[in-house]
Amino acid sequence: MCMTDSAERIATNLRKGVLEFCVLGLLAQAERYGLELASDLQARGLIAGEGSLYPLLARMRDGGLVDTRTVAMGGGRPRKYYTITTAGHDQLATFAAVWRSVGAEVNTIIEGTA
Amino acid sequence: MNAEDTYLRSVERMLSSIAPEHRADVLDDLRGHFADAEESGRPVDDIIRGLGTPADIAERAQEEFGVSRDADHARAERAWRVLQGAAVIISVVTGVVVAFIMPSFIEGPETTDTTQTLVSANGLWVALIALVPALIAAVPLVVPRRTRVVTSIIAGVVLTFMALVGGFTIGGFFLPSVLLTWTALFAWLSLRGRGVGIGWRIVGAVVTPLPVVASLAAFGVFPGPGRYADTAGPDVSLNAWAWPFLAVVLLLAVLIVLGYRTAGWVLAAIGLAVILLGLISGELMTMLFIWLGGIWITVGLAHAVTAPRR
Repeated sequence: MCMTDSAERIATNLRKGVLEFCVLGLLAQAERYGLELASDLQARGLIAGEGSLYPLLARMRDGGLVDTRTVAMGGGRPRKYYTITTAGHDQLATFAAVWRSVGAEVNTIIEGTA
Repeated sequence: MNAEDTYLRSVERMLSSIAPEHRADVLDDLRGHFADAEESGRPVDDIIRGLGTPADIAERAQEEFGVSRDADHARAERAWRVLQGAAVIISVVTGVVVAFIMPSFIEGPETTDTTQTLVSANGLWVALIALVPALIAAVPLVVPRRTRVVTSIIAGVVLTFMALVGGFTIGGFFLPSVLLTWTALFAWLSLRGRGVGIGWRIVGAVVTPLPVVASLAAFGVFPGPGRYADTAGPDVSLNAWAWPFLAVVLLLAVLIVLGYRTAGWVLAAIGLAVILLGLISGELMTMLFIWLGGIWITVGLAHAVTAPRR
């Protein structure tokens, strides 16, 4: 019980830091609409509630990392697709480099102590 | 209202400290999420469970946009202080005027109209009584914050009791303080909790023109025999100023529903002017002026300090 609690807490903290870049990574593969992104991230265990994705997307859009494209749907309802911008690609590349180096160091340490 | 609307409204209320364009983005995305998920055949309950609580979304939004819970609490603190402070100030002004300036028309079996004030008729101790409501209203402002809710409730109950028991004598003069004290408490609890929504603004907007409409009806402007139409001299003049005044008040009520903060300040200022006018005029109509002003100052201030950013 205590173990799962602390595991959950560690996972929550880690996910919080990387979620933004996971969103960029998914959008780099293909444009996606909100529900697609939310379901995908939740299935991967990267977000707890799907709703918490939307404030993040709003901030990333505000910061110019992502953009939106409205596509007319059947029934007259428009659907908003999120796309990655050039600034978003740059940010993702920077993150990837940092992640590899940090990850490598963390692995070395963990494997050394294990 | 269905579960989806309830959920979205709840989120909207809790996001009131976020910039309006970001709030609109988040709500727009959530609506799309609902629509897409419903299209794929998910039941609404299931969609809502998947999204998480409105509080979770609000917390994430506050993290993303650098608005902390502290900012919400600071806003609640400010709103409460403005409203409770207004209750104290108005009680002090009313108490001083009632005790020292206003001719007493309520004391004794034979006096219905005298030039004596309460203090000159009954001695200085009356001034102390007249200032008791101000002291009671001030207590919640000076006690530690953790006892604020309890103290406010006690102050509210005591003030309400005094106003009701006092009725048309001295007690009724303090109705504005009663309204402000309860409203302050409600604003404090709401802004720290689930926020205030459009329902709050609608109530304020509906209450705002009611006194004018009621007085128009009472003074026989509407068809049918008016209660005071024969006795009240200034029937025509009342009629003349009441209609444009009603128009202004209605306009303010509409602006309040739309969320314009300035409309709240303007209405509060009008309310204050009406109270002061009532106190200065020192006639039997005084009580009505004070109640009218009290309602407007309460609705106006409550709106001005709780309206979301726009």
